[in-house]
Amino acid sequence: MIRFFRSIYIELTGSIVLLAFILFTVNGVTWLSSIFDITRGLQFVQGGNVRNFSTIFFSIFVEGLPFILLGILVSSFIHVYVKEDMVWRILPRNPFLAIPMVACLGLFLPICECGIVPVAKRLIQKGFPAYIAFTFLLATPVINPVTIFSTYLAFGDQWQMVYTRVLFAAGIAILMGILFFFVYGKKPADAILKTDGSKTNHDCCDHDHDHSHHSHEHKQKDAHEHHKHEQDDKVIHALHHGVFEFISTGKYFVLGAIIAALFQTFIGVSGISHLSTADWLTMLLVMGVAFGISVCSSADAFIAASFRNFLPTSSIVAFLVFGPMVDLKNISMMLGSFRPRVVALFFFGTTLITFSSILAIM
Amino acid sequence: MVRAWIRILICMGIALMLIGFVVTKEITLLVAPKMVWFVGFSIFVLMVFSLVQIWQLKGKELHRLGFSSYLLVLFPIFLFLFAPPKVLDASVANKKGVHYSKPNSQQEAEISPSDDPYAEEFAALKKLNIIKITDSNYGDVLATIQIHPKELSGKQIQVKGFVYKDDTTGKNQFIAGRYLIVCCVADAEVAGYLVNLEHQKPLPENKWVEVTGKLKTTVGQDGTVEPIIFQSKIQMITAPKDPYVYFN
Repeated sequence: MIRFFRSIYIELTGSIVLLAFILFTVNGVTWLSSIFDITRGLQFVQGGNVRNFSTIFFSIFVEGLPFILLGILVSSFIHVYVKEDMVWRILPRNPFLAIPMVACLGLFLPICECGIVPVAKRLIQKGFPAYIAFTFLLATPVINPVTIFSTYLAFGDQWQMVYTRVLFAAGIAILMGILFFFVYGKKPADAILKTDGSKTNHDCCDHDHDHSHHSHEHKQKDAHEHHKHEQDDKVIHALHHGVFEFISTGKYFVLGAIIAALFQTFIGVSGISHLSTADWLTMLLVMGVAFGISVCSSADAFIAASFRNFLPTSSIVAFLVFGPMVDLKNISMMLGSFRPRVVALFFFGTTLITFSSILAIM
Repeated sequence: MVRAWIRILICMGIALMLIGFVVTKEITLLVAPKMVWFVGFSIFVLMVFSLVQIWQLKGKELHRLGFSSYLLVLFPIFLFLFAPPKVLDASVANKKGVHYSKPNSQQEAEISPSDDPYAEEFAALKKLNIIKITDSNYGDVLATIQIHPKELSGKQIQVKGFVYKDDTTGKNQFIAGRYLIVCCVADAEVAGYLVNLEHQKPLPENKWVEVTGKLKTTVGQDGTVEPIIFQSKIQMITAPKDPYVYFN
């Protein structure tokens, strides 16, 4: 009897959960509204700014979530299906060849800045060198079809801003890649990744699935079915791993979204709208705002386009290039995955290179 | 075991919250309609995650996660219980950025008729007796008027929006604005038309109005030509069901 239930456990729980979801979709809102009447009646949550904060927070959360989940799924499947020794079959060994190649990878693998951190982390765990992972992390949010197209649209169907944005992003990503090559070139993954997460990871995730007992029990079954069973196990394992990845990345994502929403509620773009002093100062402040508001890289071009009335072009380029590479929720997620020293190098290096290169060229 | 249950609670809770947003249509307060498919993807993945977690109830802890991690990921659910999202109004407009019918001086000089992206829209507007601005043409008409303020001057125009004022608007002026959204409310900004009041008391901020008037131009402080609506009729209206306009 127990054995019977165990054998249909998956189907059983699956249908119960599905049924619960359907019931909720139909009736849940009315059930819940009685609870909401109590919790939402409290005075202290009714202030205008609390609600504005809530709205902006949820919009960042709801908007970013699918891309985070996509990043986690990609990362989990890389984890289960990509073997360490595959690295050098894909990439040239010469870093000065590999870095520019990786910078253009986003054209074929478009992942926006929300989903990119888990993927970059996984690449390092899989033995990709840090310079590859960080070039990928920096370049992909800008150099991808979605961002390119939205920039084109936002700036009145003109290619000039698109070229400027893409070239600066590629240049900065490549320079940072080279910097990471010189600093972390030959160091092992443990020098990059945060210890607590990665250590347990190695202990628990690299274990081989030992299925020998299966083959004893089911000797009569053919090898094909056994193979299929193992495949299923792998998928489940990848997804189960995804759950943990979701909590550990989600924590930093939520934290980043909270800070970004606070920034938008209390400071916002009003911080830069009355400036007319030196260009470099304006640019620095604009980069600060790009960092703070943490808007998706496919939408930020429209915000930048609205700044054209009162900001010099150099500042607009700075906003477009810096925002997708370095922003609050991104740095927050990186702090959860990489050592503080690595994040500091990333942050200050990218800021300095962006600032000085735009100031020098524009 | 307890942690596994908390993980199920998180995945299911967030999935249910998202379903709630979609069912009550509150989702339009947060993201543009075209993004709703992505929300569906989130719901699907989270449902799969919670199912996998149920199947792996006795499975090993794959990462050591602290209490604070769980608390932070539960934060959206708590926030949802206590302070649900609402419609953005004029109170955050200056934080989100406002751009009203003031043309871009740079743009005006650069654009030649051949590569004007709004040439078609302009030709269509020129034929109309009265330009009625609706939810779907809001952004396009605004952009067209910014590029061709002089040519369209003298037309009758009708627009809905909430009243917004700041230190760039004059004493008898206000902006009839709407939040223009690309992906989500986080990237929203106010886009609107400068309206000049005639023989009327100033309007309270944040009230929804429908303005009918004549489009004219004035010369701004920096020497640019600004389109402005000289009001002939103002009607107080209730806020539209979907208060935002979207950029396609």
